[in-house]
Order: sequence, then C-alpha cells, then structure tokens
Amino acid sequence: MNINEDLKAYLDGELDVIRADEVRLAIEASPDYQQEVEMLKKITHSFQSLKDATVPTQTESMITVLGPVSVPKKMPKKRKNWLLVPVGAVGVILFVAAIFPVFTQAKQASKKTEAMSAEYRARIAGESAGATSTPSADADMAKVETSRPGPANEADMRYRSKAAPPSGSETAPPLDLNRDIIRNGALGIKVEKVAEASIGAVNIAKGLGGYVENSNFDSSNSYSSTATVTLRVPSKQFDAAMVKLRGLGEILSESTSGEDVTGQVVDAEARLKTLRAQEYSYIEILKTTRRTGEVLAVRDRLYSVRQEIEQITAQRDSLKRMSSMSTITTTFVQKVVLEDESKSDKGWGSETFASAVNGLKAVGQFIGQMLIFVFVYSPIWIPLAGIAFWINRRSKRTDD
Amino acid sequence: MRGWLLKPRSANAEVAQLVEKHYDELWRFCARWVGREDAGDITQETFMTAQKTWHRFEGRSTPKTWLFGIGQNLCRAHNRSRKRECFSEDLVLEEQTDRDPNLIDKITLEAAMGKLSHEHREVVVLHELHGFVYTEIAELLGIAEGTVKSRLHHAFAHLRRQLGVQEETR
Repeated sequence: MNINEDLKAYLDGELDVIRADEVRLAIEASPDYQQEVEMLKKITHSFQSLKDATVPTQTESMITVLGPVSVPKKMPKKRKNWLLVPVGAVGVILFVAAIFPVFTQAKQASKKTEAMSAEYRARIAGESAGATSTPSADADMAKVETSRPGPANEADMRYRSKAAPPSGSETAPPLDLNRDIIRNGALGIKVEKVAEASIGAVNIAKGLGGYVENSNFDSSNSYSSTATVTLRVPSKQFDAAMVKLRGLGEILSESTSGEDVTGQVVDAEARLKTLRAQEYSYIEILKTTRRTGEVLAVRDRLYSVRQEIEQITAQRDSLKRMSSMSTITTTFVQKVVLEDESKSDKGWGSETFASAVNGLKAVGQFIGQMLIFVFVYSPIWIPLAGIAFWINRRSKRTDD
Repeated sequence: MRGWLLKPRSANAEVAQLVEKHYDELWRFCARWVGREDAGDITQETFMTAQKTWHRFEGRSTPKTWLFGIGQNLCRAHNRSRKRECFSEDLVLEEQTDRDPNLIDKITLEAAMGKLSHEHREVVVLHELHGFVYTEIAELLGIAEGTVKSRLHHAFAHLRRQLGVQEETR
C-alpha cells in the first residue's frame, strides 16, 4: 500500500496501530517522507489561524427564538475583578458619610422637639392652673403653630407626635407602629358559570370577615356573560382572599397596588393633638375673658379650631378605615363554549337526512332560478321561437 | 418509546444547549459556505430545523455532527437556490495581525483552499477547521470513511502543490 497516501491519516492519528507503525518506520527511513510530513504539519498548523473569525453575538436572541421554554441560560462567568474591592469600599464610605448627617439631624430634631414640648407642657399646665399673666389668644396660637408638624417627614412626625402634649384629660392613643397601607387588587377570571363564581367570591369575602361593596352582572352578550364584584376584606386577609379568588377559575388578568398612608395618618394625629391643645387653650382664655369683643373673638377662634378638628378626625378615620380594609375588584367572564361539530351527538342517519334535504332544497332552488330566467327572457326567445316555428312549418309545406 | 426515555429533556432545552455550545462554530462554518451576510440566517435556520426534528435524532452520532449535517444541507440548498457557490475568503481578511512567519499566510492559505474542489474543501473544512474526525465526517457527508481519508490526502496534496508554487513565485 502506498505510504504517501496514508501520511495525512497517520498525522491525524486515524490509522490502526499496525499501519501506523508501518508508516512511522517508512517516515524514519525516508527523508522525502520526512519532508512531506513537515509540509503537511505546516499546512495543518496554518489552518489553526483560520479558526478565529469574529462571530456576531446572537446566542441570546437565538435562544429567545427557540420559544418560551425552561432554557438553561448560560450563567455569566464570574470574573474576579479586584478593582471592585477598593471602589466598593469607597462607595460604602461615601454612603455612610451621606447617611450620618441624616441621623444626626434626626436626633437633634428629636431633642429640640422634646425641649419644645416640655416648654409647651409647662405653659399649658401654667394656664390650666389659672396663671394671671394669660397671653392673648393670637400670641398663644402663634406659639402653638411653631410646634405643628411641617411637611410630612415621617420620622420627624413620629418624634413630634410622641412628644406632643397630653391635652387635659384626653390621653393620646398609642401610635400604631404597623404601616397603614391601602391595598387594592383586581382580578379577571374566566369561569364556567359566572353566577356561581360570583356567589363563591362573596362567600370568600364573608368568610374572611369582609363584605361586598358593589356587584354588577351583565348578560347582554348572548355568548358570554360577565359579573364584576367589588369586595372589601380586612387588609390582613388580602393575600388569603387573592389566593382563594384565584382558585375560582382561570386567571385572565391580575394586578395589585398599595398606597402607604402611614405618613398621612401620623400627620393627621399630630395636627389633631395640636388643635386640641389650641381648643383647650381657647377654652381657658374664654373663662378668664370678660370683655364682650374678646369673648366673641375667642369663641370665633374656638369654633374654627373645632371645625378643623372634625375635618382632620374624619380624614384620619377615613384613612384608617381604608387601610384596614382592602378592596378587591373581581371580574368574572364566562367561558365561551362553542359546539364542536365533529363531536356532535347526532347520528349518521340524521346527518345524511339533513344533507339530503339540503340537496333537495338546492335542486329546487336551481329549478326555480331557471324558470325565472326563462320567464324574464321570454320577450327575446318567444319571437325567435315563433319565427323558427314559422320557417319550419313553411318549409314543410313547400316540401309537400 | 426508547428514544423518549433516552431523551427526557425537552427538544427546546436540548437545542438551546446546542446553541450555547456550537453557535459560534456553526456560524463560522455557514459563513464559509454562504458568506457572512447569510450566515446568521442559515445558522438560525439550522437550529430551528434541529428543534423541529430533534425527535428524529437517534443518538447514533454526536449532536454536533448531526447539527453540522443540517447546517451543511441548508448551506447547499441555499447556494443551489442562489445558483452560486460561495466560499468566503473575507473571514480571514479581518484579522491580519500576529502573523507567525513559520506558518502559511492566512490569505495565501484561503486562496489555495478556494482552488480545491467542493468535495475536497468540504472535508478539509470539517476536519481542519471544525475538528471532526474521519468517522464523523463520513457520517455527516454520508460517505465511506476511506473516502474521507482519500479526499483529505488528495486535498492536502493539492494544497501542498498550490502553496509550493506560491512559495516559489515569491
């Protein structure tokens, strides 16, 4: 066998042991083969340089094209980038440096508020003890205004409201440290029977201590009826209610939202305390005032303060109520069940009969159409037929 | 049933793994036969075909061989529809740095490759550039292993002659 033909296969390791040995010996014996082998090696090694064409990266898009399946995505290789360590350290230092003044300010604000409230308590106590040097209502109000919370800085609010003075016999209710969040949810559910699903939703709400706020049933569409049920459930039961409602059918849409009103509630409570302190102050002033003009002015002030107290109380209660009960709007849509003709329970006999009747109808329709055509075109064909008849008859007579 | 038991993972997951492993190499392979412009499309089509026909893959060859077989057929069909045979030399023109003086110049080598017959070039590309062994090439191209060996021998003899002439003319 020709050694030359097997040189390439020998270099590629594709020969069996015996043949490879033969070829090896032949190469060792012949300088020509050795030169040939060197050239082949050179060409083979040169091919390595052709392997590295740049490929446009499309692997991710390719995987996307393959469809929404549980594709094991290639995890990016973690590169140890030591440069990140000092950068991270600097970032942490900057973050702490940025945060620290905020804490300092908060503590200072707390101390300041406590000092102001102590002063305020002393003033109120002095006033309630009937101090002779009673300041005017306006001046007093101005001082009270200084302790009113400003824009809703929640941390500040909590400090302020904790530091706010107890007004008379009314003790301040302990602040609820839980967040007041108004939670809303909306579900679109496809169900077999809308009415049953609606009743199920109502039962779920009642079972969790809630109630139905609103319900609406629409069956104007002959194929699919819908119902919308607005449920109110206790906020703590919101998640449980959502889970149970999801079980009523096939979920078409779902959304949840939440609004944190803790700051607003705290703000309202702080303002109420301040206003009640004002109210108390005016009452005390009213007791000591004797001039009619001053009495009227103080009463006017007292009236407006009480009005404001009512408004804020209502606002706070509303927020509390809204946050204590979540709203879930559930829309039920009936599944449209189309009759599957292939699975029709009619037998083959009745189907054949129906088909034959349809065929007969078609034939009758065709004949009727033909008759109408003949009638409509009669002004054309009757004279022609008459002429043809006349010609035919005359030719017969001539023959006779 | 047996095939199903042997392949418990979904076709999509398997083919996705093939994409991860072989996309780049298959793209290069296709680019060599149909050009850079169409290589992306053909590569994508190869994977789509692999996904559709995964249930027919019996595991007698490696998935890579099977995949490149699909790619090879698609490249052929593509060139047939375009009534042309493309052998892309522009793949090497982009990188001309780091030249090893002991090796043959890329352009020279590509030019010599371009003068090979289609059959010879096919086996050279599969063996030298994509690392397929003789049995795999035989399976991929549907020819005997001896034919692969013979074609490679003749292809290299031709290359050697071409390159020898070019070396002498320099």
